[in-house]
Amino acid sequence: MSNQKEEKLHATNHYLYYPDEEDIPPYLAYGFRPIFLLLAPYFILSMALWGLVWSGYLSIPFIDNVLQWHIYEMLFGVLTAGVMAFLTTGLPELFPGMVPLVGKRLKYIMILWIAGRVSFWLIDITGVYLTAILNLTMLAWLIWFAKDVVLDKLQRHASLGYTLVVIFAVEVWFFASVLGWSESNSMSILRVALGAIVVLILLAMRRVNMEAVNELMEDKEIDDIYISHPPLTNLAIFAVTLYTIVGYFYPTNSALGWIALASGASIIAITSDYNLKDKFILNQPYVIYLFWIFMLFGLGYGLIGWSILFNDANGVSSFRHFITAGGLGLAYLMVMITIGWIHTGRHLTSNIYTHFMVFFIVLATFMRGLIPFFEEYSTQLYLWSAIAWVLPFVLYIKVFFRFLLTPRIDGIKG
Amino acid sequence: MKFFLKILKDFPAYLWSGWGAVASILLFIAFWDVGNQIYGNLVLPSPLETFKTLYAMLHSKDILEQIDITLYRASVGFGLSLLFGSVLGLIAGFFATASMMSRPIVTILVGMPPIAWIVLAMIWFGMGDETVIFTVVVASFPIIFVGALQGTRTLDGELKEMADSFAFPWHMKFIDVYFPHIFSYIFPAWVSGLGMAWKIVIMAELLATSDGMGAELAIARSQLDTPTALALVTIMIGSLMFIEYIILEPIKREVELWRV
Amino acid sequence: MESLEVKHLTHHFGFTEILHNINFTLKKGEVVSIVGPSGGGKTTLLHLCAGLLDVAEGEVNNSFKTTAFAFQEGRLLPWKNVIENIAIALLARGEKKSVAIQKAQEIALKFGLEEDDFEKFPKDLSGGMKQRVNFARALVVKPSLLFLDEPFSALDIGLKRELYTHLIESCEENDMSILFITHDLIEAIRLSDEILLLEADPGHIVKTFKYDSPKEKRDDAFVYKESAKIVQDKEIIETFKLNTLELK
Repeated sequence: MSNQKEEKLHATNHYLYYPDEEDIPPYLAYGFRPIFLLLAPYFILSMALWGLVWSGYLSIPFIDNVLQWHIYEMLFGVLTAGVMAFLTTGLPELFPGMVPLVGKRLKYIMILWIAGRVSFWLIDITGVYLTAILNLTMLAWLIWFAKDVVLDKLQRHASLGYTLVVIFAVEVWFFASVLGWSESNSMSILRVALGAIVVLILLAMRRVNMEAVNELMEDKEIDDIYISHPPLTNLAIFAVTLYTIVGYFYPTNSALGWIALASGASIIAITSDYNLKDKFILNQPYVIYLFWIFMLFGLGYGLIGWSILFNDANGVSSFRHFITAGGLGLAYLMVMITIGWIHTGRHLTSNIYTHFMVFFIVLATFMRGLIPFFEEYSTQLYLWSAIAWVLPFVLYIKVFFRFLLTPRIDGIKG
Repeated sequence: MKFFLKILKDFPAYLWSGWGAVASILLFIAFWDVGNQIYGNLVLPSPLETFKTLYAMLHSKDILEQIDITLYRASVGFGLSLLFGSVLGLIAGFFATASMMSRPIVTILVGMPPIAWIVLAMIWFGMGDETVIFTVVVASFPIIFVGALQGTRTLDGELKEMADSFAFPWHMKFIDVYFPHIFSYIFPAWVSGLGMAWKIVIMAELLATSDGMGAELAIARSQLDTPTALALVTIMIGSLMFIEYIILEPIKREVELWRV
Repeated sequence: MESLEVKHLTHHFGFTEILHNINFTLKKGEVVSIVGPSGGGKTTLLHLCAGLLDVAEGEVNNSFKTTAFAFQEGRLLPWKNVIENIAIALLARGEKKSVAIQKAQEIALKFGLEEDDFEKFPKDLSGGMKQRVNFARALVVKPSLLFLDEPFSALDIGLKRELYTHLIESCEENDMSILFITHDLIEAIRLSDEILLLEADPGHIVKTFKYDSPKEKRDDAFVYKESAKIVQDKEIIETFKLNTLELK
């Protein structure tokens, strides 16, 4: 690989200005670095903690609703980290005038995120108010950071910003219902939050997808262009939004079942863009990885629809893991892997480790999601699926932490 | 041969691209379900109930026989239209006089409502296969005829000249210069002719015969058996969609790759 | 000796006389161009010579063994890809398919098309690429006489020069003759042994110009010098109505 090519990759449209702060350690040199350094261990740690909580070894009463807080943390707690990585890395690229967030400022934000996590696990001691304030502040700051996106005259990526605002409102609503200021059922609110987050992921994936796949093709000298067509994404967003709203008001209505099936089909439809006009790319590992995000989302909504139509409430909550543990989990993992390669100055590479990371997430999802079909093994499946789900992040630490802890290998700052 | 292999090779990708369509159909079914919840089972049975009826139907020998009868009538009628429409249309297209003469006649054929043809056919042929087949032919023949006529009328004189300048033998002129152009007109006409045939055959059966799917539909109506009626409608739409999107559309795409 | 002889050729479309008493001879290895203003019957004359129109009055005797035609607008078969479009000229001559495809690929590469383009349909080609295919199709049959109907008129100068070179090479290598029509005097001077000046209403030849120097040695200086000379010519000025400025 020639040097010239190395230069070309991601040096040019990265950012126009890099802050001239002195002595920035590598792990604070760009937004994604500290987040991934914390997020991967946090996934492992929190799964271990949940395992202990669920099995009764650890007693955190979580204001008498463990399940609700488990969902809260896996949605909002993780979301802020993922969104932050996406925004701090992606925005300076989409809006070249923007100054990247690095060094001290980055450190303070990370401390805020850590404080949010600590306050969550100590919620029985420190109380809901502190958790609410810390976590809402974190999300509010993210929205503030992304304000350029919403104010952009061309509104190219404004939908991301609006969706974040909606998610913020839902989080406020959730805390309001927990604190008794709102009559709404907080579990229903979390389901709304899941819908909003899926929409956000679909919007973000459209951009990640195009960047990663085209980067890959350029790298392999495949002469074609991959375009993720907005109408397909928009149809999926419409269906998911409809499902979320109808699901809040009529969670067991048969029409909701059909809408869920439609949501599943419309999300899978997004993958038809991978079939390019001239070249065949479905044999490229990264395309397969990204493909599975949509498949897991689609399967999740489809199976949920089926369960609603046949009044199987148990199935609905199990199959939801295709969306959460599967779709969301794999989406986070893919963002971590792609950014981990490209933005540390490397080529988007697939190897046995990346194969296994993706494989284990998918495997864990199927083990967890298909429990209704194998009730007699449910205890084993709970345990093994949790372990399989954590493995990719262990591998992530092994492969990527040295990239995150050292400067970019192409010598560019960031 | 190579051509069919190409169709088969592209088929999975084509099929996969149908997910968006599946999604919008499912959303439509969701609206149907809402309609059922508002108006009740008698007026509009739920989609799930309809599909259950449909499933039971497809396992009953009696209904399959009726479908057979309808298929027979539709295929004979459409086959005749296809044959005569294409051949006569091509001939008419090659002669300016013939095409000039045929236009007003086609307008009359197209303009006459099919229901009027059914009444006439019932007087002429009585209640039976002939009436239905005749109506199908009368309805879909003009569509195919016009397609073939347009195809031949619009042949490109410049390409003919090019073929002459390279002294193409006659069979090459036909296969490589005329045929692809004519086919690009006549094939869509076949597709819409087929759609027409399928709709008309049901209507004609409903009015003029005691067997076939149309007749079944009439019976379901008289017994206020809405689930059966809707299941029959589902069969009709389903089979038409199958023929159009699973069989014809992939062929059309391959044939018209050069166009879009 | 192969040749194309045109004697006392007159042609009518309906009651309008298009061509009046045309006489000239094109000998083996020669390049003859017909220049004249648009609407002067150039294309009609070329089509008569190529046998695309029936000769009614006068004679056209073509004893060249093989002829080919390159049209102004490409005229590629839209349902055939690049290679098939080139190969079809060979297939029409009864060449075996595999041989035709191979020859087509060779000449396509020679004419600056890339392997990635081979499967493309004309709708996906740029104007310049279409014209490359057009030329490749005409030259793949190694014609002893090539008819050109202003095929350069919509091309950029770079591509024009490239195609000129291909033509001159073919003339040298295969002793090919060319009859071509153009309204571009510079082009005519660069390529022709003889230029026939065709005046309109009805089309008739008013003058012929001969150029003897070898074509591959005609550099820009030569071409511009000669074209500067030719636009001073009285017949040229009248035929192309070059004096309209003075009229004002």
